[in-house]
Amino acid sequence: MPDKKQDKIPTSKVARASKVFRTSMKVGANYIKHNAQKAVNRNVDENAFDEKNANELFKLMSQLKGSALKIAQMMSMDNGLLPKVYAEKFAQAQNSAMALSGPLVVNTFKKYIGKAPNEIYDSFKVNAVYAASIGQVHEAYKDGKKLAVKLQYPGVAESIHSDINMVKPLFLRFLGIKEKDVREYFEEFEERLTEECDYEKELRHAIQIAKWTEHVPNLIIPKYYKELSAKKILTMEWIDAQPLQQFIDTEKDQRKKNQVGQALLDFLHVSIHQHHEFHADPHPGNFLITKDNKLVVLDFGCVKKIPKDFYIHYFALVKDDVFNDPKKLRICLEHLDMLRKGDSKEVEALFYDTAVKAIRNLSMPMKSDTFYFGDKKFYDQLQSQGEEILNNKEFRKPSAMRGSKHAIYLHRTFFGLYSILYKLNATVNIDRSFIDHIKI
Amino acid sequence: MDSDLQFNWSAVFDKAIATCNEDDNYAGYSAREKMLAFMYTFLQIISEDENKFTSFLKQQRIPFIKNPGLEELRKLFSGYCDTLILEGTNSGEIQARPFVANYYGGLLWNTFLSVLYYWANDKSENKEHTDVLVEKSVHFTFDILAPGVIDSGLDLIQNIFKLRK
Repeated sequence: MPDKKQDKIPTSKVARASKVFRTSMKVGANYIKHNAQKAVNRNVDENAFDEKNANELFKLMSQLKGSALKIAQMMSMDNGLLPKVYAEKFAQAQNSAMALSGPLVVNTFKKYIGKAPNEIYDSFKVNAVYAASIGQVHEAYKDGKKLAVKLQYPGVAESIHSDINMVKPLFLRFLGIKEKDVREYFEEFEERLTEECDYEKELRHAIQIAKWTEHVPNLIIPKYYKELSAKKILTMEWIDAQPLQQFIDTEKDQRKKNQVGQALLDFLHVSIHQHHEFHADPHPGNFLITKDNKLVVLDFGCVKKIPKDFYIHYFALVKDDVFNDPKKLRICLEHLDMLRKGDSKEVEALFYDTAVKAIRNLSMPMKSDTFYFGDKKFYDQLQSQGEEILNNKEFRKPSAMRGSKHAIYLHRTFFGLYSILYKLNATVNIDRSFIDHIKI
Repeated sequence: MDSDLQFNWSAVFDKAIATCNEDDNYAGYSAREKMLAFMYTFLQIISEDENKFTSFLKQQRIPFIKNPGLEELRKLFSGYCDTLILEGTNSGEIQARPFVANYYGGLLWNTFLSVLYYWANDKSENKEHTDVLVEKSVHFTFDILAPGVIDSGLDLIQNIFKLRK
């Protein structure tokens, strides 16, 4: 039988909307139930309530697929944007399967490249070997080389906007915030997601970043084939390697783990500090490890470019002479939209303290030449920081929605990087030369 | 309306079938996949002369009613469906139901017709929405034709009568 899984994915706006509506009803019902329980029994577990809602939301997201799932994952990546229970739920959804019929695969090729897959490759497997949220991966051969061919689901790119608008109210209700306070962030999400659906852009990014980082040892970026790619089709070299998570779970030799961690950190540091443009989606599913312990980077769909001005004021905070100088610190924080002119004293005190604490945590690894990321205390501090912000009611006020939109993806990248390094228990060398180039 | 009748549907149809057969995978497809492949190919061929076909299809105000301009296409398509249905019935993919089975061809024609009308009005990029519709509606139609819960239910009822004795 051909794959019929796709029948279950509602593409029409009405179908999607009805799904969203049903879920919000259920979440509302859970909320009433929860409050009723609370009235009788004061010790009702808040986590259990969150968990119940996360389950509903998760069910919805996994049915919507595509960009809705991406948004959920994105929010779960930025520690602190969603409570822990939600984050864990969405992280599980990374390998969701759905498949296009063979004829549609052929049709997509004819539409975008003008030829059927067996005309441009020596061989091509119509059944996908791997499925992700916006596309699926096929195996192909050409000139004796094994290739990975990524194919995007039809209609995904077009539904991003309506998807975001549909899940937005749901998220706002969960977090108890107003739309206008977070509009900028959702616009940023939309921009990144739209970009992620443009495979031509991804190809350019991959080739560009590969060139920037070619001197980084133990790093492999697959070769991309421009002539075999189009807006919805991406052909790249197939590299036989094991998933990073599997490597983390099974590898015993700490030296090998350090080597992988070093490659990952160098890869990101070079692109962030030298080019201000980086792979902004470092979750374990995007990396593979070869037999000789080299790091393979996949998926350049989410690449973030940060403005120079933002970069300077952000990383200046790592410098002691800036951090310890209240005047300079204030300039930086205002630039990053953490402090605003006209804030009341209490608001300012709150944000000042939070920002200082966050900077201290995040910049810790950049203060020495080598850093041990397996330190549980350091990792817990990073984690608890987000939870703390989330639990503090002060941060739900309209004035509390702040921080430059560029920071979202930078934080996400650092948080993803540090999480992987923690799991690798890695000790890595930090090239701190970038600090000398920053002057404010 | 005379100009509408000038469409050489059989040329388009034959080209679609020929293109399908050029694909090595086609012969090995199930009936469902063959129908998908046919529709995608057919749409590709009429896309080459998009304006002509869309303006014709858009003129057809009332779908699903016998339409002289589409009659030739309907006959060709029905012939194609008959072979597909026979093939699917033999392989067990399609359930041969007494009496109802006579309407299978008509059901497929209506599916195809709605795809065509949608295609003519589709404004999405590269008419991607039509691709989604083809995928979904062909799956839906073939799910109706496939052996399902009603068939096993009827079978159960029949057997209950037999077993009662």
